[in-house]
Amino acid sequence: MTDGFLDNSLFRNIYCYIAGGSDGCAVRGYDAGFLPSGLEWLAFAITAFVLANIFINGALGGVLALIWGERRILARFQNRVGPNRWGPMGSLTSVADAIKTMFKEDIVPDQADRFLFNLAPVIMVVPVLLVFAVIPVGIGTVVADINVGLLFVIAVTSASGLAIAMAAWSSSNRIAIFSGLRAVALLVSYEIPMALSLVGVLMITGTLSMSGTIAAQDIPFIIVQPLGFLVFFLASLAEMSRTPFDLTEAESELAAGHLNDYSSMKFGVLFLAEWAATIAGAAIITTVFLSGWRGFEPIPSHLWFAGKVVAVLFVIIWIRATWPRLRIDQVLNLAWKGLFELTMINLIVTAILTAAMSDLEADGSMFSRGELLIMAAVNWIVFFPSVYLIGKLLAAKPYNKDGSEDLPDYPVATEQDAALEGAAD
Amino acid sequence: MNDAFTASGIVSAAFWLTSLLTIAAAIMVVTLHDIFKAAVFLALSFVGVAVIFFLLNAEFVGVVQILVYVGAVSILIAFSIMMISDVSHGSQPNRGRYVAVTVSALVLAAIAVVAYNTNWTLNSSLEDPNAIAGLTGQFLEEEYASGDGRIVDLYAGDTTTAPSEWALQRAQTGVLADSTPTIGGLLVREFVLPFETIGLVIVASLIGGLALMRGRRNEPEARGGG
Repeated sequence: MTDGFLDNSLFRNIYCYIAGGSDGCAVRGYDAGFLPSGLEWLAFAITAFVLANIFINGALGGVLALIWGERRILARFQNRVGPNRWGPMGSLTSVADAIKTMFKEDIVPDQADRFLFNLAPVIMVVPVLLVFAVIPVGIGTVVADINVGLLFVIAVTSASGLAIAMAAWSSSNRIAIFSGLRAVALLVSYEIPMALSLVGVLMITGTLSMSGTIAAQDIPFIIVQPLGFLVFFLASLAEMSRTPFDLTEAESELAAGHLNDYSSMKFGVLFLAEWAATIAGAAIITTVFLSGWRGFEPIPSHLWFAGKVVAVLFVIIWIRATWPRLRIDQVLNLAWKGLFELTMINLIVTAILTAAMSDLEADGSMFSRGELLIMAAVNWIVFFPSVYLIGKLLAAKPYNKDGSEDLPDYPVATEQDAALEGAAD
Repeated sequence: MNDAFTASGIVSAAFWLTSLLTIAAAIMVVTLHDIFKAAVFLALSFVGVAVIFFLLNAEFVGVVQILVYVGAVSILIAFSIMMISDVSHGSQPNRGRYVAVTVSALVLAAIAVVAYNTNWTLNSSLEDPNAIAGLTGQFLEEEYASGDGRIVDLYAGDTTTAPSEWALQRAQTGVLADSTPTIGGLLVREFVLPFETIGLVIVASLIGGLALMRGRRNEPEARGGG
């Protein structure tokens, strides 16, 4: 593993520029900074502040760009023009929307629990922004390269379910509570395949850190772990409640779901958190399965990362433009009966492969390009039949006409009902 | 980064702040009448505990604390509250509260006794380079730049040149910072029996829950609930 993968040069450059006198900076050949020694904590605080500002503003700018991009792309899919009035190709539409949202009246419903109602947007947005802290957006460019990065991402995103529950409950609105119930059921169900699909990657890399994961990807893991990628991609779509799993905000049934009673900037913050979660999800998929910022030389690493994230976002928007929304029972069935099985198959195959390969390996930690290729071949051979099989198992069965046992969970009109209705008429 | 931490009181300040916040949140949990707010404060106190784990360099335990307690337990509590109507206005006093207080006090006393009697001097024993070499498993192969530009190879047992402050700090935090492989190794080697027992208990409770639901479903009235 080369130094470039593990060195957090962004943090170090800023920190050592401010306080060059400390131990770590002297070793790396920095000049003395302008803060006297003994004030390292101040340098640390300033660096942290600067980094947090860079990343949060980057994420927020990304949200504005994503909203505009999604509206333009969706319009193209639907043979419309899309927003085109404000700025070149309508690119300032999101800015105008943000300003409009800020100037709206802030209404809190009479029946609402004010404390939770006001707290929910904050709780919603914090975990999403925290995710950006551990994602390397370029060589050595990360806020904190903690050594449990992957687990951190899963843990932190899981907290957003609580925020949705709070928003739904505090609105004292039954439609919002329906949305909250759906959201929590969805999040809890999809967290399990999401976490388990990453275990295959962990077994290959042997580390939980994001930079270690990138360093191990001589071949992007989308090729080595097709099943893991499929499950993780679908589970992240569900976690960020995007189509086809966007039934928490199914417009035709629930209007905006838990966002119903929010107005002005509270709505803005909740909305922003959702879109930032989409960007964070795309960034995680890029880092774990598309080899992050790695690419070939003349193009800088940051551009590689940005390009891959935009590609993933395009696929997500493409899915939104193409697929219908699923029903809640279908969504939960997919998580527990479909994706869970697929992750188990992936886990078993990867465990056998890893055990077999690391016997050949001297140090047993990292796999070479050739070994990754062998793994990829086996995984792709397993991929197609298992996806076909699970798809067959999940596919809708015809109704049991003689009505003996296999009644569906939702009420279905039987001949008896029809006869009763006829009698009533 | 680490030298900035040790050079300052940031860690201890953060520790006291987090402790106060955690305890305050825990008190709110037992005093609030609104059960949903209590669940939210419970989540806050779990987050506080996780932050304390982070401050102790136990990043893995801290993250798992958030994943399990904030991401699953609190959310499931909120989920079940949303199923019940009108819980936010007043709640019944718990009839088992004296038992609860006794058990909690006993658990607290046991933890206090263990904490008081534990020898917390792991770091001081690390000033000897050989002790570092003995404890820092995977860092042995790595070389550390010394303060004056020389390279000190701890793996070679190079005790003639003492490691620099920088190398020592890296090595000291290294033992604790990379706790994940150590925990994993312990779970499948020394503590494999308790680990598997916990797994068995969880599977048993899962099957028990399914069996309970299955029995309920066969009753004719419950079917309409879907």
